Amino acid sequence: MTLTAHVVRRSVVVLAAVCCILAAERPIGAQKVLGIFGSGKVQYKTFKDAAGRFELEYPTKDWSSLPTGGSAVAILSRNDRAATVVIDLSKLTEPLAPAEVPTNAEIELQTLKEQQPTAKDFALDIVDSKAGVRGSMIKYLRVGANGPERVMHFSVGVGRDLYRLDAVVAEASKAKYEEILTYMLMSFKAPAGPTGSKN
Amino acid sequence: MSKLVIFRGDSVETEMHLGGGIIRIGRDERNNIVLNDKSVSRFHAEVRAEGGAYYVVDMKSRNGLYVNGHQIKGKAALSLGVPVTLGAYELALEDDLSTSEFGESPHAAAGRTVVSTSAADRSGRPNRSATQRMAAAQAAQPPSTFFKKPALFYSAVGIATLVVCVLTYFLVSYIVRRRVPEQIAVNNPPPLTTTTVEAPPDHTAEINQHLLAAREAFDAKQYDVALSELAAVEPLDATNEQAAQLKQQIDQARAAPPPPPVKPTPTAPTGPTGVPGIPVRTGESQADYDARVLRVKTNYQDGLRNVDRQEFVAALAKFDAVKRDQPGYSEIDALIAETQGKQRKAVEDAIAQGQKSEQEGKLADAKRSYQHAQQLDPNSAAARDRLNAVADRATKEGMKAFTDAGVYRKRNMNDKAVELYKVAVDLLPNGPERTEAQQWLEKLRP
Repeated sequence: MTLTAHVVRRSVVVLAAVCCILAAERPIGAQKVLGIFGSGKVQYKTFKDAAGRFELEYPTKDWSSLPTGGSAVAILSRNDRAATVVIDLSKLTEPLAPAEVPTNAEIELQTLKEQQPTAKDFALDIVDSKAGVRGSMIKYLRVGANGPERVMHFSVGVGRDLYRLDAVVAEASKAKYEEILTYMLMSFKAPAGPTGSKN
Repeated sequence: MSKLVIFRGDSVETEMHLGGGIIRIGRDERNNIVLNDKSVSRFHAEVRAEGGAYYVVDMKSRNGLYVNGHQIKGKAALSLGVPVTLGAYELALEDDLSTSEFGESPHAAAGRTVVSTSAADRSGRPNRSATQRMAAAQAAQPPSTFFKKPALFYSAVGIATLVVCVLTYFLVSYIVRRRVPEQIAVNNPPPLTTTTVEAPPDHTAEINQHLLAAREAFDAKQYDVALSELAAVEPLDATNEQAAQLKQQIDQARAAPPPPPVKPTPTAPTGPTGVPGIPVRTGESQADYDARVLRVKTNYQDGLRNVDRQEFVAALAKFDAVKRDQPGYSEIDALIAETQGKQRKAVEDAIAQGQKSEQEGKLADAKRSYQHAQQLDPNSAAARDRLNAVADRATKEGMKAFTDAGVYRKRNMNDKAVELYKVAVDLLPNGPERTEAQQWLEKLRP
């Protein structure tokens, strides 16, 4: 009886480990639905663009929006700057077709590599946001002013708007903030079509 | 009886019959002949009759006296037709057919003649031109007198020389024209047969092609096609005999049912109408033979040109036609074998080039090389297989390039878009994507 219980416990542990491994090794390009349930410990509120172009959720506590400039239309940052999300907007001549999302993701990846030659550990996924918007998620490691930092680059086309959300966190704090940042990116929501941005 | 005629230019100023006395000429009123001109001295000259002859004497005039262009000092004989220049005037001794004596002239009756700037009016006679003067003199004078007048004499000699030259020219031309054809005929005897097509040199090839096509169409009983080919010959050479003969044959063939096909058998060269290497077939009419000769020669030459251009398929077709028309003509079998060898070599080279391009990832180049190989020999299985294989790859990569180009274009990265659209145009087969890629290329190119 004792032996049987021991074997059962071991089997459960092995099964759990196998499940974890399988879950971790999804093939590149497979669609993922990330952070849908969010972090149970963190409370979020909605940031709405003043022009009504997009919205996303960010932690109620210790986060605030910063003044923007250039092509950045919103900057949300932890008050201690340990983690930041920058939302950038550029224009497309035509809306992207769904079949063109992977191509656009490849172009984004190529562009990032060209712009940041020292960056490494690039990983590309095609993901659907919580609002059902399909985009590309590129994760990579780069060296920032305060040392290595982890970047999550979420790129999504909405009508003729191409949004790029860059979530940056120090490599040392990655474990602490990655889940929050992922939740924030996946909560991005933008109206499509002519009601979109007028930038 | 003689008379003295005084001219000023072409006009007769006055004339005076000569008797046995002295005639004084000068500006002074006391002269017998008064010439009112500053070129004449007051007492300029005298004309005297001495011993049956007349003499002119210079009276030490300021401007002198000239006999036949030579100035005289003192006295000189006055001859018929020899001009004597006296200032602006000219004297001439002429025969007078009338019997009037010295002083019978109306002017002489007065004892002297006064000539001024319009002496003709005073003389009461109309002016005469030099030609009239000469004609009158010639009519009035005997032949001996004519030869004594240098102007008339030299003019006559000149005219006679001119006439002789013209006659000589025509005579020589006539002789040359008669001789040249004779020489050509001797050096170039007429050929035994005449098969050339009479046409302007620059249209000969075109006419031959039409004739050949017409003949082939006729052989294939496509009479309308044959007639349309002949119609194309007409503007180039309306009098082409072969075209006329062929048209006649077509008309006859249309009118009568076609004869049963008879396989022509080659015969030994016979008669003077055969062309070397193309013997006349038994029962073959001259027109048919001429047409066949034309076909053989035209196809042979066309085939050689095709070989030079690496158009082996066309070349072999031409040589086959030659072989059908005249087996063994100009070692045609060897030529066909040689052409086939060149064709094989060219195909192998093109395939090798395609493989090299494929290895380098240049699918468009590879595709072109295999296509070229297939053009060189449409029956080449190797070329066909290679082309199919690379075409699949090329289509896939072309589609990817096309899609990527679209995204780059939408992202306003037009340089990259153009680059990819070019690749797509190169790799894609004809279809909507390729057409669209071409359209975008035209739009986006700077």
